[in-house]
Amino acid sequence: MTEAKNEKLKVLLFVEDEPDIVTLYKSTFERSGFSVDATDNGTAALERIAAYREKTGELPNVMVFDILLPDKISGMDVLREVRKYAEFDAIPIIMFTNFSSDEFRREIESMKNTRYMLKLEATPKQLVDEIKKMIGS
Amino acid sequence: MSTDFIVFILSVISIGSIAIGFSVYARERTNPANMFFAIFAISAGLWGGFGIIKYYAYVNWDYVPDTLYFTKFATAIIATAFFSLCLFSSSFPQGRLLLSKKMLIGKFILYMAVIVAIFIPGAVIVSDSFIEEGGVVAFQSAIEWGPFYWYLFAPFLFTCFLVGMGQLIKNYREAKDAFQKSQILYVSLGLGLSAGPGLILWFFLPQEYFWVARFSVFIFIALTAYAVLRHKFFTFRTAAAEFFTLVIGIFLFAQTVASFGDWREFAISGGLLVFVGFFGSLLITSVKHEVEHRRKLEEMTKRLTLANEHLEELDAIKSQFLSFASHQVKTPMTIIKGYVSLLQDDVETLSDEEIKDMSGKIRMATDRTISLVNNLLDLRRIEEGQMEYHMDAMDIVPLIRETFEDLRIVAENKKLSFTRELPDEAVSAQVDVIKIRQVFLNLIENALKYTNEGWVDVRLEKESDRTVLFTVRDSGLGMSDDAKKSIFKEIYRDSVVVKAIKGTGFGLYIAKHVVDAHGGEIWAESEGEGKGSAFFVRLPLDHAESVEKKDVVEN
Repeated sequence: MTEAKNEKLKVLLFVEDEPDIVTLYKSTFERSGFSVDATDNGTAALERIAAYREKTGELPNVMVFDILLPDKISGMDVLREVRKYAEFDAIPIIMFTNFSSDEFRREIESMKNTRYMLKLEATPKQLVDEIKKMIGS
Repeated sequence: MSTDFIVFILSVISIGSIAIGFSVYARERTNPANMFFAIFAISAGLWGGFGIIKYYAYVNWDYVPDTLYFTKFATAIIATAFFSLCLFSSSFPQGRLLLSKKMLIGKFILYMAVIVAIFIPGAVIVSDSFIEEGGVVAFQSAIEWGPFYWYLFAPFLFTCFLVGMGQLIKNYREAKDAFQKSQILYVSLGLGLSAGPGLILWFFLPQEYFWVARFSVFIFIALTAYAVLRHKFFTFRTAAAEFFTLVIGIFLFAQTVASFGDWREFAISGGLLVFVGFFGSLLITSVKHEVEHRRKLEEMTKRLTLANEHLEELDAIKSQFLSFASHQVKTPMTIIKGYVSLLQDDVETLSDEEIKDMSGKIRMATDRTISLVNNLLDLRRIEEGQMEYHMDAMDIVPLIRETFEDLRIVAENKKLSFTRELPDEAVSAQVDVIKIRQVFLNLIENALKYTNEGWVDVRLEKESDRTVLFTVRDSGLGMSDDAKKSIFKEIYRDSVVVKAIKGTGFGLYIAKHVVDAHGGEIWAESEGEGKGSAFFVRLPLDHAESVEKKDVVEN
C-alpha cells in the first residue's frame, strides 16, 4: 500500500475529536502514504496555523477538519482563519463532518480549493481518493 | 339660592360621599389607601348628614336639638376626615403608608388632642352653638368658637392638608409609571383645587356660607374616587353603574321624602324610586356580568397564549432532540461503515490480526449504537415524564460482573489494565435491573472511552448495613471543576444546537435520573484535567421487611 516510496511523505493535518474516528482515519491515511498530524480541538488547530505562518511548523500538503469540536472554536472557525491568508491558498482543505448544513456547504464551496464531505456518505477510500485528486498526485 | 334647594343638594352630596366611601373600600379592602379614603369620604358625608338631620328636626318638627352636642360631634368628624385625608395621601396609590414614623405619631397625638379638646367640658374649641330664631342660616346653627379653635383645631386641619399635599407631590415624583402619575395628578388636583380652597373658605367666610366648603369637599371626593377606581377599567364601569343608579335613587328618595304630605307627588316619586331601584339593579347586574365575562375571556386568552408558548417550546425541544439524536447515531455508524468498507476493499492485503482488530472495532461501534439508542429512548421518556421503573429485590454483584466482562474486549483493544473488585457475598438491593445495568454500563464505558492509556478499575463495596458504593476509577482525561458540576445535567437543550450536539454526556444525565429514582446518589470526582476521574453510585441496600415488589411510575 505504500505509494510514496521515493519522495518525502505528504503531510496531512487532521482535526477530529472523536477518538474512534481518529483511529480509523489515521490508519487509513498512513496506509495511503501520508504522515498524519492529528489534533482533537480547535485551539490546538489554530496554534498549528500560527506556527505555519511563523515558519516554525512544517506546512502540510492537505488539511482535513471536522466541524463540531469540543471547545468554543469550531472547524469552521479554523477554516476561516486559514483562508484569510493567500499563502495557504494552494493547500486543499476538506471539511469532513457529519454536521449537515446548507449554509456551511455554501460557505465552504465558495472558498478556493475547499470541499465539504459528509462522513457517513463517504468510505475511507473515497476520502483518500478525493484528497489525492485535490493535491494532484 | 333657596334654602330648600341647598339642603336638597347637600343631602345628595352627603349620601353620595358615604356611598363612594363604601364603594371604594369594597373594591380593595386590603389596601390601606382605599380604607383611609373610605374613612375620609364617610366622615365628610356624616358631617353634611348631621347638619341636614338637625335642619329637618328643627324645620319639620319644631324640635330644637342639643345643638352644642351636635356641633361638637360634627367638629370631631371634620378632624377625623382630615386626619384620614392625610393618611390617604401618603399611601396612595402604592398602598403602603409612606409617612415617617415620627410624623405619624406626631399627627396621631395632635389628632387625639383635638378630639379631647372638643369633648372636654368647657369652651375649649366649641364654645357655644345655637340656632338663630328665623336667622339666615336656616339649617346651620350659629357657632361660637373657643380659643383652641385657632390654636389647635385650625393648625391641625391645615397641617393635615399640607402634609397630605406634600406627600402626594413626593409620591408623584417617585411614581414608576405614567398611569400612577396620572392617578396622583387627579387626587392632587382634587385636593389642591377643592379641599384647600374649601378649607380656607370655611375658616374665613362668614358662617352663612359654610355649605360652600361641603360642595368643594365633594369635588375632591368625586375626583379621588375616580382616580382610585380608574386603575381597573372594568371595575370602574361597574362602579359607575352603581354610582349613577345610586345618585338617581338618592335624588328620588330625597324628592319622595320632601313630598311627604302631598300624596299624589309622593306616589309618583315613590313609584319612580321603586322603578329606578329595580331597573338600576338589573343594569348593575348586567354590567357586572359583562365585566366578569370579559375578565374570564381575558384570563382564558392569557392561559391559551401561555399554553401555546409552552407547545412552541416543546416543539423546539423536540426538533433539537431529533437533530441531536440523529447526529449521535451518525458517529458510530461512520465507524462501522468505515471499517466494513476497509474490510471489503482490502481484505486480501489485511493480516488476520488486522481483521480481528477491525471486527472488534465494528462490534464496539455496534454496541455503542445500541446503548445510544436505548439512552435516547430513555431520555425521551424522562422528558415526557413517562419513565417507568419495575423494582425487584436482587443481588447486584452478578449484574456488575457480567457488565464488566462484556466490556473486557474494549479494554483489551485499547490495551488498558482493566480490574474489578466485587464482594463475595450477595448484595441485595431494590433495583430496576435493565435500567441500573445501563447505569453501570454507561459509567464503565465512559471510563474506557476517555482513558487512552493506563487503567480502569471497577469496585463494589458495602459501606454500612444501609448502603453500597459502586466506584469506577480511571487514569484517563479527568475533568475540570466546572465539568464535575455540569456533567449530570442534560445537554441537548442548549440554545446553540451546534454546541449542544457536541455533548456526549447525556448518558450521565439519564444515570442521575435512574439513580435518583432508586433513592441513591451519583457523583464524580477528579483531581483535574489529565488526572483521571472517579464516578460513584451509592445505592440503598434492600431490607428484609421491604422485599415486596414495588413498581414506581414517574410523573
